[in-house]
Amino acid sequence: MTTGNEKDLEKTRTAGRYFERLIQSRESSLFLVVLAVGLLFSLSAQNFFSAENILNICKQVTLVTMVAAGQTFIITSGGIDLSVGSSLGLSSVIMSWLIYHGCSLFIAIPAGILIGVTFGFFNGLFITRLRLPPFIVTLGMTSVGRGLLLIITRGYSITIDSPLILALGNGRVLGIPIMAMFMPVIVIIAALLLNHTIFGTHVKSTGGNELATRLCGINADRVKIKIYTLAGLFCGIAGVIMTGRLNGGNPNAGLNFDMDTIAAVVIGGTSMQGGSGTIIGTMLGAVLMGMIRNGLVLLNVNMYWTTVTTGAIIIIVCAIDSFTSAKKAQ
Amino acid sequence: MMDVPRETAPGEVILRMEGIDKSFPGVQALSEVSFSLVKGEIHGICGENGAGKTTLMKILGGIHPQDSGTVELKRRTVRIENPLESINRRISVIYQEFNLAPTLSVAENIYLGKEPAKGPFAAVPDRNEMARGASVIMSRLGMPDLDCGQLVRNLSVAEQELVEIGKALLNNAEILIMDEPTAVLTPRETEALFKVIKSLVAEGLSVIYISHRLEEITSMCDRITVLRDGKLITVLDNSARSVAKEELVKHMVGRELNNFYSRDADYSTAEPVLEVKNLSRRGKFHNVSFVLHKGEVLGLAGLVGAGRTEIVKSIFGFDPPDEGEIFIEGQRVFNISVEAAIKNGLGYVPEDRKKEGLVLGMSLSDNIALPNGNMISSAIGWLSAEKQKSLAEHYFGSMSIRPDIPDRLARNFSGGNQQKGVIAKWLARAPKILILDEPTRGIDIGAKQEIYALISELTREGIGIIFISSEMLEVMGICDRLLIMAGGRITGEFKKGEATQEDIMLRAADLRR
Repeated sequence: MTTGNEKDLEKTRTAGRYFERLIQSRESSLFLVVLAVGLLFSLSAQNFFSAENILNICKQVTLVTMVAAGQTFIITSGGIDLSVGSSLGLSSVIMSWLIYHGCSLFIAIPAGILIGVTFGFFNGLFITRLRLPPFIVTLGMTSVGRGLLLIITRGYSITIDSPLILALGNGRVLGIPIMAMFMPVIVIIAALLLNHTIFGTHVKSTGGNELATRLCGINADRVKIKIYTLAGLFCGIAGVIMTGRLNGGNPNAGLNFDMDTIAAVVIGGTSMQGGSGTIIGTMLGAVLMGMIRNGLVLLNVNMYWTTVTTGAIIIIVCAIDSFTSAKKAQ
Repeated sequence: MMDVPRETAPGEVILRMEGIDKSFPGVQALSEVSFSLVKGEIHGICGENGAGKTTLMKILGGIHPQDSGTVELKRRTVRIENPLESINRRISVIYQEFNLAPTLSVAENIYLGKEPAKGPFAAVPDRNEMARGASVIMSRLGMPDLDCGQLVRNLSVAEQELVEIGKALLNNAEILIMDEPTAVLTPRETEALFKVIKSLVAEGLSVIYISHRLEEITSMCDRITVLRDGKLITVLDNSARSVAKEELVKHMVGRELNNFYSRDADYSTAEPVLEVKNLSRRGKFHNVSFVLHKGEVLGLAGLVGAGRTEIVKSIFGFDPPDEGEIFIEGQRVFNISVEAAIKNGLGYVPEDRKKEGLVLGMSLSDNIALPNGNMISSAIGWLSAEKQKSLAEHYFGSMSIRPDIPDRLARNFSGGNQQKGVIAKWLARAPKILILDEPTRGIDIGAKQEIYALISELTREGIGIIFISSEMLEVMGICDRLLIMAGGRITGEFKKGEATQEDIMLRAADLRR
């Protein structure tokens, strides 16, 4: 029996725990790691701690963060998307091809975004209607997308010279790269969508227990189609910006994005089992990886070592996490 | 230690636990609990959920060593630090969730970790030896015809239970601990299991038997230990099978309970709320027709696999029927999806609370809100934390869900409180018909009573309730009318008080012809 007094006590404890939870949350500990790594590089690499370099890092991680935001929704719902890189590449290449052949930007840009959306929609459609695991569907789609892209480009880059598009990737407003401005916008929208809407709740409940979700009258299939389509939308937007950054469509565009986005999501603290996810964590994960790459380059470490480091970071961060959560469970 | 006899004679104490304390963060799970087990006895442990039965067992299984207190095995003080040590000390625990590898065969499971080897470097398992040994063990367990080469996942739950016991036998277990072994067995399977347990006890095995089913405890056990709130309440001598269920209940809840399975009044009316006509679904149920009235509790009794869950899931739109018609308040409805069924005024509390009823990793408040998205959000789907909070607080209050912390994860509530949460999510939609599928399975007596009281309350408001339960006394006591199903058909119908247990069993087994 709980008496009134105990109840009050419990409630005070809960309020106290809220602050505790904020301190103990994955996001804040990850933020501290980001600060620590930043400090380490600032002390060791000469040009690391400068406004120019920090903006540069922001620019470099913008696209990964954007696409990883979509990936966060997918992984939270218990799925995975291995095809985000192909989706991004295909939308960039098709948009470039349209512009190269004289198409107006008013058509080319929406077309590029639409390619990503369509790609994601079909991922969702195949996963739900054919009852196939997301791993299989998106593994297949990544090949389909990359193949189509190579057919269109015949393996060569398409160079365009549209000032507006190029400004997206390289321009600045008030000294801040335009491209970097997309990051907070997408992160805020995605975080609100995941944490403050019915849709977000359904994403989490589908990942947490799909059967229970269905038995609540929620059409989990429709939720999944929406999730993959949303992720496709982010890929499409990223594709448009990528085009500006590369001065056109490159057959290799987005090649590492599948693994990089999954890494950002995992480092960020979203559970691979589904059920819970954090967009802020994902952003911090992407920033951490971007910072390490940037710092190692400034320290003149061989480019290929940065790849090794990224892999090591994933394992270390997740090992610490599983260790601490196992301890908490005791 | 001085020389102590290694073997224990029947009637001697084989296991003694003294002053056991165990706490988890925020909970004193056991305090100063003592327990003793005599060789060759069946010792029942009962208590409500949270009384400490499972914790006591986990100390013996080496899952959580005790904080303080002593465990004496055959007069030797031991501390069981891990599960392997427990097995080596010839204790076998069979948990509610089996520890079997579903894709391995019966023989491979029994010999898992102890495979007889042959060949160079002893690298090849001796399959012939394993098959032979496994079949000897399974014959001892009354299953001489079981094919020990088949995969465990193809076995029934009852057979899997026996494979678990077989593992214990291979480990030469002297103490067998069983946690709710009959929770998902049919009455016939339960009886067969009891026979096996009795024959093993006759061979000298000592059994600790944990169950919510009090009639099993009183009919099977030689002594009964009752725990409440982590404390030892009493140890009852039942060697003459003289302990009455009521006495046990009294000790478990600390107060007298009269007419346990009962409701205050019958609120059923003559006005039909749900009519089902000739409903069929291939391979599941056939040509099922019945009427549910406003304010009525209609029971569906029968054995596991009789088609009870299948038919309510069809009515609820989860697996729509192939044929037949459904009418709600006289209107024909087409429950082609769960969404449609909910719109038509149905709510469903599923059989498996953890797998189907709740998203365990979300808060109970989120779970209650889940089917009620429109009530806690704006038109464009923007969540209102305030609305959700007041919705959750309303039901936490009116259903006295404990602890009163809506933001706590669903998995951290006790079974009874979880179940109240599942019911709450439907009440918010003001359903016309509520389907309760095994609503009291695995929850404690206090919570059961609260659910019965809630059923009364709902029927008084005119809600029609379909009540599925495998506990015969429960359906007989709670339901105004009873349908009995066997093999996907309705084989009998009784008004309250008309049928005896035998009448129901006969029809559930479909033996009357």
